[in-house]
Amino acid sequence: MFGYVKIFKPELKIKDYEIYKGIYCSLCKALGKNYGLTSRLSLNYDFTFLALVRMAVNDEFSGFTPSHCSFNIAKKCLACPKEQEDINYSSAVSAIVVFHKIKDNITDNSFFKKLPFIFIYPFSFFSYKKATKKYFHLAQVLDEQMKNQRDLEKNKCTSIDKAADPTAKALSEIISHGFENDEKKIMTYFGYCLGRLLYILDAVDDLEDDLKSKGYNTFLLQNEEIPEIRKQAEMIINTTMDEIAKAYELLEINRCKDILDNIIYYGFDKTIDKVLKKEGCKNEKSI
Amino acid sequence: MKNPYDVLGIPSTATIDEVKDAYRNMAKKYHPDNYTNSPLQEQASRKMQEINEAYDNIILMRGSAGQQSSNQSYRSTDSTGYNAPGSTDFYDIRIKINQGRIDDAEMLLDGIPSSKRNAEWHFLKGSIQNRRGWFEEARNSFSNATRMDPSNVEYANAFNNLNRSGNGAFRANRRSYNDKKGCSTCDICTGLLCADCCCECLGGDLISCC
Repeated sequence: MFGYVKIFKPELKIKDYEIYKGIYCSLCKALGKNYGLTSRLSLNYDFTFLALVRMAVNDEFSGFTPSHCSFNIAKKCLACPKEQEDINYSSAVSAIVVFHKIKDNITDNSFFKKLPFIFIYPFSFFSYKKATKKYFHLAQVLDEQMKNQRDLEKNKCTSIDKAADPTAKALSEIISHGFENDEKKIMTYFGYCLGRLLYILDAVDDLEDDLKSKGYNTFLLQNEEIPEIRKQAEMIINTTMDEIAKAYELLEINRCKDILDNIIYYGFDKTIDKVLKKEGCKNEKSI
Repeated sequence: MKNPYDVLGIPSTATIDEVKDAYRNMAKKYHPDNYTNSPLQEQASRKMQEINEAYDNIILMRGSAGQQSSNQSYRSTDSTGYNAPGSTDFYDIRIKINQGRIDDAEMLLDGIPSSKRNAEWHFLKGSIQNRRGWFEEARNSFSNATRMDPSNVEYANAFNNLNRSGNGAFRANRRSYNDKKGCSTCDICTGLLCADCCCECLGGDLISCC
């Protein structure tokens, strides 16, 4: 479910790329400071996007300062000051979400596959507990939605809308947490549609694997012809993406608009085409 | 009040044609029809109002008295988004849907016995599912509604909107809206050719082979 939300680098200005990397680096520092060294393993661009979109909509922003990488002092980067709440919030969400992911991997996988997750479990649990203390209500909502997701999968739910609902609701809470009034309404719907999109993309991406391993996949329960499923999924994905864009356009973006435009209008386009196996990018390197 | 030029996303030095183009593009994006079954209908209609006011302000400031202010067809005629009246059974449900109380509306709707579930019932079910973000079920409901009452424009529009976005029409449009109006290769070549001509007229030669 991770790795679908990212920039399309060729269309991004260098100054915006530096800022994007700056948020990534700030998140790395916050994870290390708040939740210890092992939590940095959960660093990814999805949580970078979370911090970015919240920072863009929030009124206050403390700015960037020149800094350097925690692991490579020679490497310069931009960083947000420690008080930037959206970065700390994103690190807490990362701790909670990754903990649930590790728990799922331990439950679902065979013995050898789950070994590395068993090893990392205690560190993740410690981070999860710490994050829960600070964001109790959020953690409760996420716990509830993860449980709903497991129940739906156990009951072999065949409706893609229902199956995507827990993930969608979880993300709608994550993205809109702390906002009020109109902003809260728009961020809630934006988060809902985004969570829904990520669930569907994940389901389409895993079609081949789930068919082989007989794992749960809403699409496979209705039809085992993968090309037909991709065609049906394309319509659903397009509608969801359209709603994401419509909600995004109603937001008051105070900063970093170009980076967000790049992700929404170019980044997702590329990701969706890749998942639907339309265009390949062989040997794709990291951003 | 916000700067009207910021609302339309143009510099204050924009020509009147650029202002009109910007208004047209913004109105297409935030047109009330795009948000008919969305939970963000209220926010969208407020945004549309903001855009209309910004355009009217700029036209007024530039003193074009003969100009028609914002095109009537872009104005949202009713901010509550009241739809064509249906039967009295469904009137309460429509009101609740427009107020955003979709769970209450669904409870009322599901209370109606299967024998009375006509085209309008399916349409309202679809509207509720659409606002919840359950687009696939909404499409099925709208499909049922149009099948049961093919002549109804409201049901047909809702079904067509979902199909159009499903076919990727909006994805393509949005990308072109947001492509920056920078230099294309044509612009660069034309610019260089013109510069070369001017240079040669004055006795120099910018590009020796042209």
